[in-house]
Amino acid sequence: MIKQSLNKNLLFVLLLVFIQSCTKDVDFSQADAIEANPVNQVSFLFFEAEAGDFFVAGNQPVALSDFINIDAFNNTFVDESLVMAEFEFETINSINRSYEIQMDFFDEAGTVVHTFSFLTPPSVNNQPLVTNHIEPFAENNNLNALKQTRSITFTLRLLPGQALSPTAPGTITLRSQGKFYFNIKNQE
Amino acid sequence: MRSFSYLIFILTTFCFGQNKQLLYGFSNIPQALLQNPGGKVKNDWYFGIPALSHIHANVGSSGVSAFDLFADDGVDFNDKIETHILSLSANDFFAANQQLEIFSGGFSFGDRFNKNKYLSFGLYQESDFIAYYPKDVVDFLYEGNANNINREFSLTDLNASAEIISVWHVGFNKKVNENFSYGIRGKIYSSLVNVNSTNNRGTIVTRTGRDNFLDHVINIDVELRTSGINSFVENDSIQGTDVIKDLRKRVLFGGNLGLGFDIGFTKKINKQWTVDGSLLDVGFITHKKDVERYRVSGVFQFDGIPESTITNFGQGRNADVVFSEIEEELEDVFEVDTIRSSYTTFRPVKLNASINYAFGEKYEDSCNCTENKSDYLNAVGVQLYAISRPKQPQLALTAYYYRSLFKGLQAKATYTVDSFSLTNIGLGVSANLGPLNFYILADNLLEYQNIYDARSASLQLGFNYIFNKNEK
Repeated sequence: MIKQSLNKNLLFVLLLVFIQSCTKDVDFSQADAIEANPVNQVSFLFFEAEAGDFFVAGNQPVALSDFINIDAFNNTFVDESLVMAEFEFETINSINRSYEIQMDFFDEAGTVVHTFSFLTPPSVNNQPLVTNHIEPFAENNNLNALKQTRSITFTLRLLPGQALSPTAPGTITLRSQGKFYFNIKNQE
Repeated sequence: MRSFSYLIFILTTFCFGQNKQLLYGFSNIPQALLQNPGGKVKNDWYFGIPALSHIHANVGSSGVSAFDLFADDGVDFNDKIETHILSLSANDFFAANQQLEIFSGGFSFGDRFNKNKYLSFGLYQESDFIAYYPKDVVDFLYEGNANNINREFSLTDLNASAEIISVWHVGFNKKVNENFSYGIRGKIYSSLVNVNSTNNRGTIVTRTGRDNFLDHVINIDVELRTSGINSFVENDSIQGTDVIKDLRKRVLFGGNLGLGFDIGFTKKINKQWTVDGSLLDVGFITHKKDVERYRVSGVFQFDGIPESTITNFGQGRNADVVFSEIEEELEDVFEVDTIRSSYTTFRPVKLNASINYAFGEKYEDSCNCTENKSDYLNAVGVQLYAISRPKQPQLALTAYYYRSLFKGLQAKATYTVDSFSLTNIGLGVSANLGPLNFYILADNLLEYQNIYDARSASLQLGFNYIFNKNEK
């Protein structure tokens, strides 16, 4: 008899466990609030030139230009999610002439939407001089111009100064990168 | 972003393991023979009630529960992502397994007075899914490379597979003597649908550069293999009913076929101690029909756009030409190759082993003598379970208590330690009403108070018609 009632109790407990199955409040719509804020950094233009490369110019100013067509900003992902960007430039100059570097951003129609430039001072004693420039693009500050950009023109100006010979000492190097801040979220 | 939320949703829905710790060794239930073809046979013959004889579902996630993420507790969802998702390791996984027996049966045969052989057979359908948490890929997408300079993001972390198969099987069980039985089961697999991506390699890394600030290297070799899907996807005019018809055909040997076997034994050490073990689903499936594989592979190195027009005084190559070439190179790397050659998948092999101690002899009320010299009312034991998985085997250790409550009512309670939890309590009962047998087995009962917080849950139930040896 004792055994029988024990078994009944066991069954009762079993039943209780199954009946007790339940849930607590959950809210699956929270997933809509998900967002990610990745920051990506990409190398951009670079070069290294020797003083002799510019001797043709003598002591006169000279401007050299080049361009790239860039399609990377032409998509909805960038349009919706890019919230900030910056371009960082670093020049190391050991040539005794001063340089100006200028970047022009053009939109689809070929209109300049943004321009900036910075100076690299001359290295009188041919010691490497490091110059940094950071060009920010933020909300209310040229970010839209960047998103419209389809080509970038790059100009190097050799400013007036001491004439350079083919054997003039020194080099100028440029390194650059872009840093892009995204805020990715449910657009609905 | 919709796809991102879907991904998160899929990640947080339950996943399945395949451990049937309650069913293993529960020899009152005929389906226990599928866990060990060499197990003890307690019936003379049986048949499963079609489509109701074995329904099994199991879901589990090794690192996070739905409740962790979706509890309505006012905590910012993105904080929860950081706490519960980004902290997962690349060995955390989400798995799901489901089985439905379509029909099954078995009967004993042999000498008239000593029917020591048993043949069982059947057809069941099985779905199996496992996805590892792709830690490096998620981190890369979530954080970007800027704060991860010099970190190698590994693409090996992309590892997932899913399949739907049907399994035809015939098993033979022989009781060699009172102390030893063995069994073997042959299986023919018919794969309805298979999707897997388990052999991925490669890294994405941004290092400090030499000529420029940064040096980017993408080295990628990833492949997604599918069979049984393309014919549905490509054919726009296909109707829902056609899909069902086609799938039904595949259940009946019409899919991609494979072969496999199960083996097992039971050995009685003495009157009360028994050891047994089984190896299940040692087999493969060759995918030849309706195969489509997508592969992306290549190496891309980029440290910026070298400017040479300016340094060559207006001569030299224009930066745009150079940049276009770089863009093309990158596109080439990410170009998807579609391949239609066959491939082979291996079924996840499962190992079961247990040691058991029976006690409490059964007495006949009428004569106050033992009913059967080998029958005990109770048993305790320890079971080991292991399953081969793409990255590493998963293990589970179970301690159990089995009791015959009444004639025709048996129960088994288990305590299991596995990848999902350390507090998995399971309970199962098998009840006979005349020849009709019903069983229900469920684990992770402690979690049933809040099912969303369960990292895994499994349930098996079924109905059989059994003719028992013991019935006089």
